[in-house]
Order: sequence, then C-alpha cells, then structure tokens
Amino acid sequence: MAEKFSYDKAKAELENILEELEAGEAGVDHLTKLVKRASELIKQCKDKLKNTDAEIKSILDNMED
Amino acid sequence: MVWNLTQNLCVNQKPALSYQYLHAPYGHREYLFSKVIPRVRIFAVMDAPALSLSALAKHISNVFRKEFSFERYWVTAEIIGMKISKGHCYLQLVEKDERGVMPKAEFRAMIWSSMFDVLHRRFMIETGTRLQEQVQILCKVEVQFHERYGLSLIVHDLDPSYTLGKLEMERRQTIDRLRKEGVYDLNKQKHLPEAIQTIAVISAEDSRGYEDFYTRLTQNDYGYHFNVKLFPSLLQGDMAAGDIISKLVSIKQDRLYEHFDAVIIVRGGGAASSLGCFNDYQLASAIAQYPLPVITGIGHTADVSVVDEVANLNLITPTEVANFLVSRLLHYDGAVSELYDGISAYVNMILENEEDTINSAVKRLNAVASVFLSEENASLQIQSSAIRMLVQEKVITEKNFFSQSKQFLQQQLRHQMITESESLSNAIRELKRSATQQIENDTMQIEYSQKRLQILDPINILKRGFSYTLHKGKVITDAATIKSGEEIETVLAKGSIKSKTL
Repeated sequence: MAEKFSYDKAKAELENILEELEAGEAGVDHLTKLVKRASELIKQCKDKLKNTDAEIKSILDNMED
Repeated sequence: MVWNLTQNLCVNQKPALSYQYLHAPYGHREYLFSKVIPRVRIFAVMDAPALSLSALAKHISNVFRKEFSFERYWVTAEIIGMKISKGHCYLQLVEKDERGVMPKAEFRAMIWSSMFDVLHRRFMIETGTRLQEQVQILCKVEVQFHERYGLSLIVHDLDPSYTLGKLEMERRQTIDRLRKEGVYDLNKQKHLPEAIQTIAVISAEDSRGYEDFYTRLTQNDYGYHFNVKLFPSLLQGDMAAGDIISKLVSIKQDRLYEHFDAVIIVRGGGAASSLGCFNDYQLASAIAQYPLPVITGIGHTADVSVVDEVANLNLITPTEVANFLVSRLLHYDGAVSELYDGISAYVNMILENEEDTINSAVKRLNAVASVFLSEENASLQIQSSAIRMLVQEKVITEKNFFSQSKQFLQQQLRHQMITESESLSNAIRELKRSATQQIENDTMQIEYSQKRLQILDPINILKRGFSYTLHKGKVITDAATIKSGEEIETVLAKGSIKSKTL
C-alpha cells in the first residue's frame, strides 16, 4: 500500500460504487469486482474510524491532565 | 789626455770640451800625442812625376804607420750607424755641432769580433743600454790607414761610465725640461684608485714580462678578478717611443677608456734590454700629461728612466706590478671590511644606546604610571564602594517591587489559568463529543453502505434462488440470441448446470 490512505477519497469511491450498483447497470462480471472493492473500502473506512476515535480520545485525554 | 775627433793634429793644446762633464779624471791616459805632422801637407804641393794611386796609398800608409803605430787615443763620439757582420762590429762615429745637427767630424770605426763580445757585454751591464745609434761613447782607438779601405779607427776599449754619464745628463736635461714645462708632476698627482681592477696594459704580447705579469695578476691567491686589456707595442728600439705614444692615444679612444683605472707599462728586464726609449722626451711628456695614472714595471734595476720618474708609480718588474695591484686590492678589500665592521659596531652602539634610553624611559614611565594607577585605584575604590551601596539600595527596592509584581502576576496567572483551563476542558469535551458524533455518523453511514452493499451483492440474490445463464462465457439477457441445440451454462448460488437447448 504505497498510496497513503485517504478517508474522504475512500468514502467518495464507496459512494460511487454503491450508486453504480444501485443503478443496476453493472454487468455480473464487473459486479463481483465492484462488491469486492466496496467491501474493502468499508473495512478500511471502519478501521480508520476506529483508529481515529481512539487517537482523538487519547489526545484529548492527555490534554485534560 | 783625451782626444776629440775635431781636435786638429796640433795636440799640444788642451783637450776638447766634450768630456769636461765627466766625473772621472782622464789625466792618467798615457797616449799623449806630441808630434806635429806637417809632411802630410808637403806631399800635396810637391811638383813630382805622377804617382799611381796605390803608390800614394802606400806612402800615406807609411806615414800613418810611422806617426800613429801603436798610438792609441781616448776619443768621445756619437754612434750614428752600426752593423754587425761576421762578429765584427762596424760603427759610424760622428761629432755633431753645438746644435746637435751638423757633423763636425765623422769616422768609420770597427771593433774586432775578438773584442766585441766582451766589450759589449760589459758595456750593457754597466750602462743598461746596448751599443746602438744615438749612444754617446768614449772609446780607445787606434788610427789605421788601409791602402784599399782608407782611414778607420780600430776600437780597443770602451768606457761605459762615460756613456752612463751622458745618459744621465740627457735624462736630467729631459727631466729639467719637463719640470720647466710644468708637466713633470702631473701624472704623479693623479689619484691612484684604491681598487685598480680594469687596466690598459702596454706591453709586448708574447714577451716573458707580460706573461709573468698576466699570470701573477690573474692567478692571485685571493681570487680577485682583473679586467686586463692589452695594447701590444714595441718596447725597445728607435720605433718604441712612438709606438707607445700611439698606444696611449688608442687607449684614450678605446670604448673601455672610461672604465680604465690605470695604464700599466710592463716589460721584462735584464741587462740586455735598453732603457733608451723610456728616456725619450716625447714619451715622457705624453705619460706625464696622461689623464690616467700610469704604473711602470719596465724591469730595470740599474737605473730609473725618465718615464719611471714621471709615472704615477714606478715598480721595478712586471711581477712587482702584479703583486702591487693584488695587494692593493686586498688592502682595499680589508679596508672595506673594516669599514663595514666599524659601521656595524657603530650602528650596534647607537641601537644599544637607544635601547637603554628607551628602557630607562619605560622604567620612569612605569614608576609614574604605578603612582598614578594606585591613586586612581584608590579613588576608584571609593567611588566603587559608593556605587555599590547605591546599587544595593536600588537592588533591594527593585527586588521588593519585583516580588510584589510577581505575586500579583502569579495571582493573575493562576486566575487566568483556571479560566482558560475550564474553557479548554469545555472545548475538549465539546471536541470529544463532536468527534465522537462525527465518528458515529460516519460509522452509521458506512454501516448503511454495508447494508446497501449486502442487498446489492449478486450472491445474496443467487441465494434467494435466482440464477443467470452463460453462453460461451457471456451472460444471456435475450433468449432469442440462443439457437436450439447450443450448450448453455446456468450459474447458481452454489455450482453451475450445463445444458443444451431444445
């Protein structure tokens, strides 16, 4: 993963994929690939959120000392 | 008694003046001629039958033999011609008139070879000159008449002291003349440079004397360098004086003339050589008036020539001249070194004196300065303790002011801190809350996306019993595209079914 992870980019890509899927325009072959990519993006976003939450908590807790 | 050639045969008279200056008395000479010979004249007037020349000669010869045989006379004369043949010396003797121009009497004379060597050698040793033209001699002669060769004088002895006296007189006359003309001392008065290194040399090129001089000069023990320019010249004989004068002229015209320190005239010596030309008036006059100092080394121990007299410096031999030049340079070198030493000693003395002066000045300055400094120091201390007290007071005042200010500031700060801390805590709380909110929102969105995805995932549709059909790997969406009997593949949630159309 040379490219640095960007939550906003990931979220935008995820939204695009979902819209494409909901439009039902994707072929079956492509469909599988898109779902797989979307699942990946969700996992990454969740991890990022989890980490960010922990990080913020840790920073703010330190500040309260 | 001495005869002069012009003295008539009446010999009872006193001898002629021509030897009066001689120092030595000649009264002891034994050949006193006391007879008158009137018969010589008598024959000339006799009226007689003619005689043959030989008979006349015979007669004369008889008379001469009778009158003169074994008689010998001391005679003074000047040689005006001389030649040597088969060891015999043939002379032409003359006595000139008072002006030294016209001959008053002239005779042939000869010295037999048996006598000549001995006489000539003694003559040269004693006079320093050889028998030659222009030399005045006193000789003991026998008068001889030969039927064929006529009248001649046979020389049996020579008195060199006469010639010496003559030469000396000529020399003195020349010197007197130079003195009268005021030139005698001119060259002597020329300053002889302390260092003589560039010299014009008048000498005979291949002569022993020049070789001695040159070798001694250039191979000196001290490695001094000399610039020697030779002007080759005749140094004896009739032409020598004129040749030397012309060389003196050449030296003046030489491009090195400005650089010459002196003119050197050197010649190898020995009794065989003649001073002759060096007593020449013209040459001596030229040298006396020569603009460069002249040094002579013409190798004559017996006598000092006029040229030697008028020269700036007269040294005997060429070797002595060379030694003189070298030792003069050595002396000069030494003098320069001494001067140098003297100067450095003097400079050192001055420097030391100056150093002492400066040192004592420094000491005085130090003393004055230390007094001044200690006074200043004391006054400074008083001032500084006054200042210190003032400063201390000031410091205490300031300290009090600062501690009050500090307390006030601390209170202010503490108050500020509390306020800020509270607002910060509020901000943090707000931040935490909004961050958490944001994250929750995002999490909800993601979860919503996940649900949407689950709904859209074809697997889930297949799981609900839907399937799709492939023909040659491609999805069939229109049944009309498939002909009967073609193979198709139906994909289910789990596995696939291959079938043929009817």
